[in-house]
Amino acid sequence: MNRIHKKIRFPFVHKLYLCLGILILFGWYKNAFVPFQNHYYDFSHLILVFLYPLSAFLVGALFDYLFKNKMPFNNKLYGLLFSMIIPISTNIFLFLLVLTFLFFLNTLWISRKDLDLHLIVIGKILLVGLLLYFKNYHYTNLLEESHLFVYSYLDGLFGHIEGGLFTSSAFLIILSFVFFTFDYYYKKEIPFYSYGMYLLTLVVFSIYKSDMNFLLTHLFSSDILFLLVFLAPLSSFSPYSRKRTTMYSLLLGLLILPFSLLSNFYEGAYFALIVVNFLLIALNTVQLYRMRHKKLNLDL
Amino acid sequence: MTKLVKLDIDSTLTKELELKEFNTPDFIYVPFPPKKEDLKKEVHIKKESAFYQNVYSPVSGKLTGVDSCLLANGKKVNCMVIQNDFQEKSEQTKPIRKKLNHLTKNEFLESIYDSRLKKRLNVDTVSTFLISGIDDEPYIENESFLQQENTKCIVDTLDALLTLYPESKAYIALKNTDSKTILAYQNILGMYKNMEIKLVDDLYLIGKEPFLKRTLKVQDALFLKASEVYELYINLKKNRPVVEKYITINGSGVSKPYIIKTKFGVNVASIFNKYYIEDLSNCSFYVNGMMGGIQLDLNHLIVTKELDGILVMKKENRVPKSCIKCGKCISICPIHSNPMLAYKLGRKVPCIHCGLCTYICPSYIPLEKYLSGEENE
Repeated sequence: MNRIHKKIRFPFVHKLYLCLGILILFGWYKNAFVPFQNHYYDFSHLILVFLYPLSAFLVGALFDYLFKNKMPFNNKLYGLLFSMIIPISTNIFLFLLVLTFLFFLNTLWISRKDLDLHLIVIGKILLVGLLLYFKNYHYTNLLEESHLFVYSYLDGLFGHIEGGLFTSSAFLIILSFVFFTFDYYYKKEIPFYSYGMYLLTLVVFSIYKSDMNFLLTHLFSSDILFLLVFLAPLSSFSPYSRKRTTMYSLLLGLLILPFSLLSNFYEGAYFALIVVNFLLIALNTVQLYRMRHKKLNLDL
Repeated sequence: MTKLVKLDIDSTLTKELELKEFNTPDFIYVPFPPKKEDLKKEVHIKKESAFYQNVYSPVSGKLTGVDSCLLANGKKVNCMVIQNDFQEKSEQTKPIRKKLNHLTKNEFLESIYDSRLKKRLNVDTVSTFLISGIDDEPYIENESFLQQENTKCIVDTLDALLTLYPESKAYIALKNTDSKTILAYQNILGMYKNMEIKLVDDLYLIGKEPFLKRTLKVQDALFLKASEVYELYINLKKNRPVVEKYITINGSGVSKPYIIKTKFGVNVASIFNKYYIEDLSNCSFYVNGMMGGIQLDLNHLIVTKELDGILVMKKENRVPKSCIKCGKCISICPIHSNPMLAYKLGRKVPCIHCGLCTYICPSYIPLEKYLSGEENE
């Protein structure tokens, strides 16, 4: 190994950690500090909130260490990303259980390099299912539950809105996207096309329903933006060819609104992503089958 | 259309190169034709005498035997070993007295020794001659150096070509960063009609025929490298084949980079023995550069027309990581190939061995090895 390689002075993964760190700090401020100031939580909650990303990072690091020769994926990062999107009501033990399951799943998937199922999204859907089963599912902290404060659209944009534990600031997510676009290895076209498509469907739907309030409420939905900026473009779970990437982005953008309407705006985009994953896997399988069939015919 | 890229190169390796001449090797190795039994030992060989198509002896001396040698593409071939008698006895050929631009087309073509070059020039009409004076490979500067040393010869030969093909023009393509070569041409080009310098950006592969033609929008041009034009000059003016060339020796492993003017058939190891006293055991040798070249052992490597330079790089323990499927190897490929198919499925895919996929890979995967079939998962 001594070839010329493009100099990567600030790797993308470090940029991701930096942006996630800022989002975690904001999430802590919104979901722990402000409610604590208003006497909704006690002091221990200020530390408890940090346990989610910290434990996810440490368990990920442990898995990375144990399977360092086999693991092609960065579990530390995936654990951290998973801890960002969980509902506020998530129990730490349940969270760790799902996380460990995900890391095992990751280990099993090593040999299936063509399987583009988004691990973190699967984790979220699984966790939401379990939370619903245990009847402990909500995205609001105690302050938001009290309905004492009425937030404007602008407040929502800057993060004072219900959402995943550390994903509520649409403004910071958009800033992160701008920061990422300067990175050569970031698949910027995915959030760009997907959001464009989502916006189009949202505008059409709002005009159809004559409800501009709906458009403004969901225009900068932070959970959707987080998925589009942080999760959907992750190289390991997204296609690599230009055609497939475009197809993936447009399909994702198209399906976000229907799935959000069917479920809600916190998880709709995640369901849409899994469906797009399955559609692309099906397309790959058909294409591979056709290629093999063609080859057999040629051999004959 | 694939956009060509500018490479991030190490500025510590772009030092001023010093010219050295290595014209007195003890032995010369000449790849021989298929009929081995034709060779008789102890035969005296004259300088520049033809062995077979396009192969000429660069020295005079005694044929002492046969040895196995390495070519720049990594292939092993049998070579005749000629012991140099240092007398430089050559075939008696008369230099052409005529001015180059007074030659007829037949005289011109008949004077060319390289049959492939002769075939390319044997056409009825040429609208544009496109001369590439560009070194694509980073840290190798043979073409630039050759042009700076022989600007007048190249321009005179081009003038002769333009006289032979009336209504044609010549474009000399140079990188806009190669100020010395630009200046060398600018000093004399004003006297010549229909000759123009075309400056291009410092992008990797821009000196290659299809990319240069596309960039300058001269698809029907007759493409020649500056070194080929110089070869024509030697053929025409001195009436002899070209038996020497420039090679660059550069890299982090050597104390001083050199441009060496040497003869074909010289063992590269003997050049290193003469100019470098440092211990090179902890170095890798990249023949013809680190992008498109290959890693070889120098012991049996000989100088041929295809050898442009050797990069001596200190060995690094950079471990390749797993593929993260970023897809950059596909998007950067100048021929729209898919190196991922070779890496993941072991399939054969079209490749021009430019090394861009390896260069761009953030996981440091040596994709060129998978593409050449050298390594399969």
